[in-house]
Amino acid sequence: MSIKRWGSAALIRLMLILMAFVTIYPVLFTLITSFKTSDEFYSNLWALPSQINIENYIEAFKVGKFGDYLLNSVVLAATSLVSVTIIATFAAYALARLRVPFAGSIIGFLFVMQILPVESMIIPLYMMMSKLNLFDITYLPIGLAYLGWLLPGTIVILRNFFMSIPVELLESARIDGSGELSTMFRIVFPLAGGAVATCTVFNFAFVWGELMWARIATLTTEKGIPLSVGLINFQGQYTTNWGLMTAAICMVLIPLIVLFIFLQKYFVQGLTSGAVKG
Amino acid sequence: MKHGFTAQSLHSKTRMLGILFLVPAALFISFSSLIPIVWNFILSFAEWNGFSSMKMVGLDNYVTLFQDSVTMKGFRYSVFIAVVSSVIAMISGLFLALLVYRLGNREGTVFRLIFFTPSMMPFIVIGLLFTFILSPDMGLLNQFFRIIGLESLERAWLAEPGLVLWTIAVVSGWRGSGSVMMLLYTAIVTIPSSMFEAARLEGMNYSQQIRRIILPLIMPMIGLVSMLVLIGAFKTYDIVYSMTKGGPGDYSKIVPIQMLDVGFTFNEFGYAAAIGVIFTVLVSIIIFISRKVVRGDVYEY
Repeated sequence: MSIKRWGSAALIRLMLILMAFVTIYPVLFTLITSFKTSDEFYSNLWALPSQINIENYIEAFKVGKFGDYLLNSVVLAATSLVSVTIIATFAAYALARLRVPFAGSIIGFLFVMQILPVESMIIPLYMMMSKLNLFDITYLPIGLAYLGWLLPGTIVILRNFFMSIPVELLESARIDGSGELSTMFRIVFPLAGGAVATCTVFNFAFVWGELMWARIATLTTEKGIPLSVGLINFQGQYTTNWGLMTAAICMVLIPLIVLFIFLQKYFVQGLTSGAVKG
Repeated sequence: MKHGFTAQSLHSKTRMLGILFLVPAALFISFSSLIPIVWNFILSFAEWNGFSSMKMVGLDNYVTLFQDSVTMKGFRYSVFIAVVSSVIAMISGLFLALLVYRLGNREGTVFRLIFFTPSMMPFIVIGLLFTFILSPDMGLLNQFFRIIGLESLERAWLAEPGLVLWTIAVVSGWRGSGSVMMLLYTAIVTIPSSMFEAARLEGMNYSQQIRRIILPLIMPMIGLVSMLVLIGAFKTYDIVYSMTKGGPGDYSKIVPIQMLDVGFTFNEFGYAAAIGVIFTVLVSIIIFISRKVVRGDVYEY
């Protein structure tokens, strides 16, 4: 009996280790390749580099304009995430606790908005922005679209969180003579930190990697190109220069992995709060 | 009486404040989602090259769409990738969740972290990563086959017409499996441990526990997760564009790529809008059907 149980646990462990290896190895391999010179890569694919060689990264920064792309992505992420968070918090609180008429239907509408594929909106969105000459303004066309697309989901998740705050807490504040605004800022928002972090982490992952709209919105300009589009352009130019390509991939991936390791909790919460909504 | 009056005015004040708070969100959502969707619908009945004035042409765009073999194949490819990658993500995610749960919380944490990693990587990064891993000559996979002496298995994974869709679906399913694992794991953890103790007393082994306890109890969650996965699985533009750009030829030209080509390469914006409309209808129908299918029994415990 005990031998059998040990046997099956060991088998499970072995399978998991094998699968973990299969999952992690492509990423590790890419990371290792990015530190190799082209000679090292072609002479032995599997070997570790003789020394940590950051030539590829330097070259990606120099010829690939990766510094610019990185900066653009950071600016885009920061501005759109801050605006999404502020606007969504107010809207979510209004829908949860401020007796807005038709709150239920509004939530339903937001839910539909979130499910509808982006394909049903980008052609006219491009035309609207082009008519309004928004494409001349750096960052704005991309940020504006992200803002509108991220708001519905964020509002729904934050609203669910605000609903979970006991009404008694708000009532007692009201009885103590606290105005609606001061209740919000002094009691409700300080409690919302975790929920906001969850949404922000999730939204960041979207903004950092989105390609379709970012590519269309920068078709006619050289300015404000984010990392995702930069990577694709890069791929077009250096198809088989794997050292350079892998360095570029790692530059997008490493910030995300670092963030993920520190904010794991919020990634998982975002996943589950996304699953129970609606 | 007086009290009632002040409560009334307080309510209406609260309500006004609430509406005020909704205004910015309403403006931005209208601008980048709602108005474009309505416009897209109107545009799908028009002919427009983006410069001259618009001409209403009735159902012409839709007639073109159903006669255009590239577009029609695009729909088939999109549905194929969505369905196959969802199935792969669900099965492997469930499998991983069951294995990780067996190991217990402490040891499982590391594995959960590792298996979840692909799910938080952007599609474009996954796509480029796999163009490298799957490249015919220097790619990891083909090199691996060469080392273990199975040269016959070497393929041009992203350049063979019959193979490319499968490759994309597997990679995309691999990415999805991490989220599925995490969600199903959290569902399994909420099952009361008393049930497992009872099962152990009756001498059930783990595979019996899976069949008799875990699977029936997490069925509703499995249904919900498959819906979420399926919705996500139609967002294929980023991964397909970064892996194949629709090639070889048109063999992986999914709907979004075809739509943007029609719009921005050939300037037929009306036709592109019609493709967008049909795509939206198709996705909605599939989500609706799957919702009916996966609605399982809910056990109280």
